[in-house]
Amino acid sequence: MTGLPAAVRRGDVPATVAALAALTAEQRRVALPDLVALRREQRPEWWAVPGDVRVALMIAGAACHSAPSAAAGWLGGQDFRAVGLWERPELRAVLDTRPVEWRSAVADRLARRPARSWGWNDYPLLEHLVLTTGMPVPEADQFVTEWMRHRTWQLDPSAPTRSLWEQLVGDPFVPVLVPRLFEVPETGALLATGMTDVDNRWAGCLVRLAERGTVARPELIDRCLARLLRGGRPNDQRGFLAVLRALAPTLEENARHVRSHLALLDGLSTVAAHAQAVLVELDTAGLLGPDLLAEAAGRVLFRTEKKLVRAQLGWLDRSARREPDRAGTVVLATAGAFGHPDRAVQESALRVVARHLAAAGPAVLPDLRAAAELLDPAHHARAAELLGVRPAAADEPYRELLPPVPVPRPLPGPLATPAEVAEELAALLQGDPDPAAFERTLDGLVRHAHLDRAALTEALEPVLRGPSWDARHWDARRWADCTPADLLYVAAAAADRLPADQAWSARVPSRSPLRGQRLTVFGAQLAARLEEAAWQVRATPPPYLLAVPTDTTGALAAGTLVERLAGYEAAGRIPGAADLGQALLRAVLPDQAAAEAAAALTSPAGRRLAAWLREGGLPHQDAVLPVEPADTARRLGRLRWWHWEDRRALRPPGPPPAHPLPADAARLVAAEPAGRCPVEGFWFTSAAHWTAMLPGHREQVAVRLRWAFAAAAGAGGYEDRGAPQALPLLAESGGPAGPAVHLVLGYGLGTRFPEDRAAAVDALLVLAARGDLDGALLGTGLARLARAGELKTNRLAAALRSAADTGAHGTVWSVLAPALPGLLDGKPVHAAADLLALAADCARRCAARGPIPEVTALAGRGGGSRLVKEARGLAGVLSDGA
Amino acid sequence: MTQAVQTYAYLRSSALTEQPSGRALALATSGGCTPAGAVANPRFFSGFLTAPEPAAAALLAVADVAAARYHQPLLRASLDPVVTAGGDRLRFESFSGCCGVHARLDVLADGLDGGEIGHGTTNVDVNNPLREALGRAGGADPLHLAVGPDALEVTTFDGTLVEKKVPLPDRWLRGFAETQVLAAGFDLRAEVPAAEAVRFLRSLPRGAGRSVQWVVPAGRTLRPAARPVPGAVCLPGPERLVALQRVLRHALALRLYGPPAGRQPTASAWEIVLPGMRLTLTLSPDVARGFSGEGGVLTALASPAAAADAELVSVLLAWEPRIEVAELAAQSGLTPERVRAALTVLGTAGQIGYDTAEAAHFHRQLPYDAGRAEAHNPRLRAARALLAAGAVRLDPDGPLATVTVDDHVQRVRRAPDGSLSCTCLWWAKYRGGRGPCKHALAVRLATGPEVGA
Repeated sequence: MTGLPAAVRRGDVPATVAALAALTAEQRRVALPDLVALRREQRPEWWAVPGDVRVALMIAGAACHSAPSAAAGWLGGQDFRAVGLWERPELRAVLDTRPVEWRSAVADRLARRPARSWGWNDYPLLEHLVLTTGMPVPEADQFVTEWMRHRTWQLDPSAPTRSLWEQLVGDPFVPVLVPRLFEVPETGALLATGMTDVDNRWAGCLVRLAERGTVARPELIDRCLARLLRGGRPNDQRGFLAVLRALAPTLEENARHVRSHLALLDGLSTVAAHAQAVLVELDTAGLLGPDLLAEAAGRVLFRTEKKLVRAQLGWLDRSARREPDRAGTVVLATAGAFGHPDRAVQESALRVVARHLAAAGPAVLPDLRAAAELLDPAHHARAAELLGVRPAAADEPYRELLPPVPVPRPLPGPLATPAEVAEELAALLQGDPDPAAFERTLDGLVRHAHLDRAALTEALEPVLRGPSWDARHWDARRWADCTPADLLYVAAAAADRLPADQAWSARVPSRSPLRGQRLTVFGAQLAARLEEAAWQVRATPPPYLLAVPTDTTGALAAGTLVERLAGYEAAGRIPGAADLGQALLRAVLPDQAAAEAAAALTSPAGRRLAAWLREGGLPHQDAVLPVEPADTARRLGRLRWWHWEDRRALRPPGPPPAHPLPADAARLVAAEPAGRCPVEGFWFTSAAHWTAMLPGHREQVAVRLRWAFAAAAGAGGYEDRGAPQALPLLAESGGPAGPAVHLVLGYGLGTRFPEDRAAAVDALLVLAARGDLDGALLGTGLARLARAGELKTNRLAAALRSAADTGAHGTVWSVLAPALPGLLDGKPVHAAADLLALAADCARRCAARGPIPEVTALAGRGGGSRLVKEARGLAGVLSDGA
Repeated sequence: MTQAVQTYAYLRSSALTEQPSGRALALATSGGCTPAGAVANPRFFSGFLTAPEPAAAALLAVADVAAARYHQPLLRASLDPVVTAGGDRLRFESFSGCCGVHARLDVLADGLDGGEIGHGTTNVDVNNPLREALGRAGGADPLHLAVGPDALEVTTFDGTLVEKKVPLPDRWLRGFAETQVLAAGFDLRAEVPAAEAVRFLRSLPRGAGRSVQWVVPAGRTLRPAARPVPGAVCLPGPERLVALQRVLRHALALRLYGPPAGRQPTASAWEIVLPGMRLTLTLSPDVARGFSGEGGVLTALASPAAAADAELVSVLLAWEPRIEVAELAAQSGLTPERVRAALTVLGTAGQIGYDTAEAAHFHRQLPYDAGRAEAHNPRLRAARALLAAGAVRLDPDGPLATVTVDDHVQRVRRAPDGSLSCTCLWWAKYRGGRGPCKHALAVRLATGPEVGA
């Protein structure tokens, strides 16, 4: 008996088998602890154990366990589940020597394991055990799935290649497992896979098994329908639908399952289409009562798939023609499509109603009139003609629904204690995107460094323990923009975690750790303020900062700024240049009272502020839109990123007059951005800070972000996500909205991702609510972008549709009306029909009149294409309001 | 991880049968709490459903949620729905396996016809044949509903129970109970008619995008917004509303409930009004964030006074469909604030539900051992450990407390309004949006009840 452990350790499988054969039951029991110990020793690195050692160990352990549960546990371990281990003939041979009850108990346990415990090729051994012991066929879920998988793909390499039918025809498992496969989850996918010939398809084989009587055909049909009723993933359902189709139930069989088929009309669209076809057949044979027809219509007409709905309308029509006494039922059922989202479906439904209304009699009229309230306004006239009464909805006066004008919230007061500064800093380092939190924390760091730097240092200790400035700095140098989380730099300086000379030398931009290679102009301005503050907290902290805004858009009341500067003068402090520059850009102008108060300031900074307020700050200038796309791009007919500068030759406004702004602040409003200014999607988390830097000059922000918005609309050939999330911020920001704001809004309406389009729609509505939307500017801009191939018009239609759906029909019309001439001139753009349909809806609701020549011309063309039909619809509305 | 197992023992499987006398839906019950104490297979109702087709669809929707996992869908989990009879209505509740979606179907007096409605809470069996039969239950023919076996069934019972054993994770149990506490902070934000409800729910993305939307009521419509504007309701993981698709055809209106919009995603409740019924789905603030981690109850749990009050209040509850706080306050002699705190504690023990439509708590006792799960709340346990280790040092005269964890400290600050904030990562990430951190909780435990919530 000493031979067994040695043979196992050697990995000598034949010797192990031989040693096992010689052991008595008692000896096996005694040998077991050694084997368990050996396995425990090997388990941590089982993958490194030579294969044969594992095989020998597995066989020896399985044979030495006298309790079936223990043997099953031994075999089912992860270390023995590697491919091929259970396929070893030696294992089968050794197991076959054990008693039948023991073997069947082991097989039963192994068959019941949950799916995640099964290996790739466990099934053949189990099948062998089940067949040799004569035990009842296991019915556990995963056993059924594995049986199907092995029958489908023939995974047992030792078995001869046979078709699925050849395997199933003599398979004793079939009578037990075929009914089960309709109950086990996710078996449908297997039913639909495999070879294409009938011998290898489950559907075909199941039908033949039913023909032979191996499984009962009525039971198959029952179970198939039940499975489809239960629902599931499309892939799963398709398999069972294939089986049902292959079974091809007769009219009588289907008649027994009318209710099931009715319920399937709510299912997956392919399943519903099948059920619909079956029910039509039953109805044609006169086996479907009128109430069931009405129920079927109710279910199908509620669906959105036009194919199913049209088929249903056709069926209703035919049914009423065949049996005129059903006209009442049919007409009422058809009215279920009056609320359908598709206008053309509503029209078809009206036609069916019109055809059978006379036969239905006047009793149906009240219900029909109630249903007609859901009709699209385009059909109100027809409904009135048919039903005698105009839908009440037609007479409601139009009211434009826009979101409330956003009111900026005032910023809370300064952070009162160092502990609060520490908490806010921790939140910012964790990515809090709120500009107000950032401004208050920066101010708090300076403020408390001024009051008691030792207390601040102590308070910051728990927060600065984790993040290291050096690691962050390394990232920043390599690829990142300067972001609000770089506040860590100021905090590190305040807490003496930054050498003083470093804080000093960083004030030279080329040596600043905050300025990486891909710094945006916004990042540069942020960096300038942080560099200045870091040096200030280290050297001579001022009592507070000037640039802290007074409301959440970033605006700073000019009067507050004058008071703050007066405080500096009283304390004999000179403000930091970057801080003052940012404060000037944020000041809300014009402010006569503040300008007068500022006249009393005497310091150089005070005089500069007074002059700035007197002159009204930075003059607003619209960006200049190019007249035509650049030649190179037109010649190539296709846009590449290196043409962006040409194509989006949108000039920022001219230079400000002699201004007191430091370099980084001046660059924010300069005529030309200095050099290339990449602003990429993944930096847009800071966008709220960018609009808060120029709260009164959103046109300037929009000019600088135009590339990112163009990229989001797919103009560069790829589609960035996220940039349009900044659009609502622009809409809520201050200053006139000029061509640049409208251009980026246009791009936003054409972005790929629904959440980005929702942001653009949000911005559109907010601009309209604030009275800042120039429909003509946006409309003509949209047409130009679409013509230049920079805007996908189907997305534009979806975005404008969702804006109109919220009740802003007038706003959408104000954008579409000026856009249509450009969109339709020459060859109409893609999705022009959708845009025309939307325009007609909007014009009808807000009672817009006055023909558009391009629409009239298109409507005058011959042919019955959808485009021409929609153009006719719009032209009709515009000419007479029909 | 402690992992309990829930064992259901039904006298027979629930079934919908066609009998000569009509269609009958017999729901089997297991393990109930009633005013008379624990009952193995209680009976709560026998009568007719006035709107059979919508009721069947809504029951399926509740069963769908019970069987669903919207996060990491491969790990299956399915516990049977819970039914509460409140004297005038039946409430069917289920909670998804991912701990992120709670579904409740309230069948109101209008939805039921005939038959006495009892008092109590129990599990009801849902099985595949029942699902298929419910799917087929169309048409307007009356449908008889029986919740629980009748006396005849019990006496003729042959002794073979239908047993189901399902793992019952602590996390699931905590989440189920805590959903009620979160929902108590919701208000009605919007109501739209059926047509708009259908349009809106159909426009939602179906795929699992892990996205968060906000929805703003605009007149009679709902507008998706990309950010939390004032008045917006958060819709975290819109694909989780898929269970509502089943009842869409029968919807009369859609109501939205949520807390005031903050900057961060919040939980929200979506209620479909059906004839004589209401189906409400409550969604957690993120697909990957179950209700169990929201920590809304920790403050109340950390207060010993609330526990004592809870015991007092629990005696006074008798499966009321609407709990009037003022009435309870008068009966118990506690202030309404203390009654509310006590209700929160009871909520964590699964003894209270919250009905957003009525804006009131209702009494029910989850047929699980829910109190045990809450005692194991990881954050509360950690806070108790900190306190026991003497890690909390209170500043005698200031608002600050220092908590020493291993080799470093965190500072907990008490704001003038009594709320606690901290310098730790948890607070920095959520700013108290997911309840207090363990440090704040330890400080709350240390300061005792006199300054408690």
